[in-house]
Amino acid sequence: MSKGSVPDGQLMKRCREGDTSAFDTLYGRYRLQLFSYLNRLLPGQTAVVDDLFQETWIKVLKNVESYTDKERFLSWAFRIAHNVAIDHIRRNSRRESVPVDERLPAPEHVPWESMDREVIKHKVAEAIEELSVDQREVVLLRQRGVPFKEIAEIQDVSINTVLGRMHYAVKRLQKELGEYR
Amino acid sequence: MDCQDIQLAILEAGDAALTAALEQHVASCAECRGFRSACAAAVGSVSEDTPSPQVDAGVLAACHGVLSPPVAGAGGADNALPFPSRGWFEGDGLWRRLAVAASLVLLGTLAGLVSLRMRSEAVQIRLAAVDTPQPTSKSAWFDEDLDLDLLSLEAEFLLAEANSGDLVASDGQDAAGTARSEQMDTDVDSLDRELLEVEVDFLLNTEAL
Repeated sequence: MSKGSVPDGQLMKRCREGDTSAFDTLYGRYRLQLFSYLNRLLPGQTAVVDDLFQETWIKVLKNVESYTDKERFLSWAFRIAHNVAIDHIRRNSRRESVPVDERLPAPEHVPWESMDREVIKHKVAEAIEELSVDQREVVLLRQRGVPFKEIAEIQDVSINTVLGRMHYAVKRLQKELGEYR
Repeated sequence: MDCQDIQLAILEAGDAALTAALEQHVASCAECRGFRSACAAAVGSVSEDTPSPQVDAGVLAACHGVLSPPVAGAGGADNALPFPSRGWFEGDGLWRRLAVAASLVLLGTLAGLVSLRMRSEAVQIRLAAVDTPQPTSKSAWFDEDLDLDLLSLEAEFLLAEANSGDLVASDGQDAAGTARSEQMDTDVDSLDRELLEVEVDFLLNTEAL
């Protein structure tokens, strides 16, 4: 939400009263974050992501009564998107996972620090795709500014578990990038 | 603190600065320095994906459809209406609701027809059970009517007689009542005399024969 604009809570209140223009504003404000989150959580499943994206917004409206001003709209919406995505994964019984390699070699130096910014972004995206859904989700939510505490609430795990997942994800990324000397 | 603790501290700190002690360690530790850079790359390199215009249009259309019926508790006046709100006629379940309503109407009509038919049959059975004498001819109808007329006249006469008797009994001092009573006595006397005369005539005729 930009400074001076209508607060999310007020827009949600107007949505509760059936105001479509309030919803359009809210949608325009957060559509990219939510779409990117789902698109990267389920890479290579464009049609599924489109459906889940729509389902997420419909659930946002159907659960509009349960939203309170106390929580950030984006974190609340991410929780809905998380549930929608997890339900889809469970329905398809294809729990993506990457075997955990506890003995990741530590690079002696940071060779990729001199790499091109776009190349780094590409490599980061690739590395994130290789993570398990839970680890990938932590990174995706952190990329969108969601605090670890709220990620723990979204994933319904302890904050230490979330930190552990993020630690593993970063170590893996460090390893992936280290291979591009 | 080992490297893992320091790396977790790096994660928790996010964009915030580390303590001097931690900064000193990171500066001297290649692994932790590499971790910090990887963390910044992972979180910092965000470019958002954009949904296609078709997806945008689909989401907006679907969500406007959800918003169209008044949300419960928001439109008090609409909710107070005695008939179903607009939402009842919209959405995915419209045809299902119409089908249910049509089925109920059909069932109600059928039940009504069956009930009427059963009642009609019961009345016919009851009528058949009653032993009503049927008149055999036109004259029989007339006789019956005549009997009824005579009966009603008789009843009226008896009632009138009873009333006059009551008046006399209840108001014996009444002048009109007394006069009527005397008149009746006179009539009876004259009738007796006439009967006596008829009787005498009869006897005389009998003796003459």
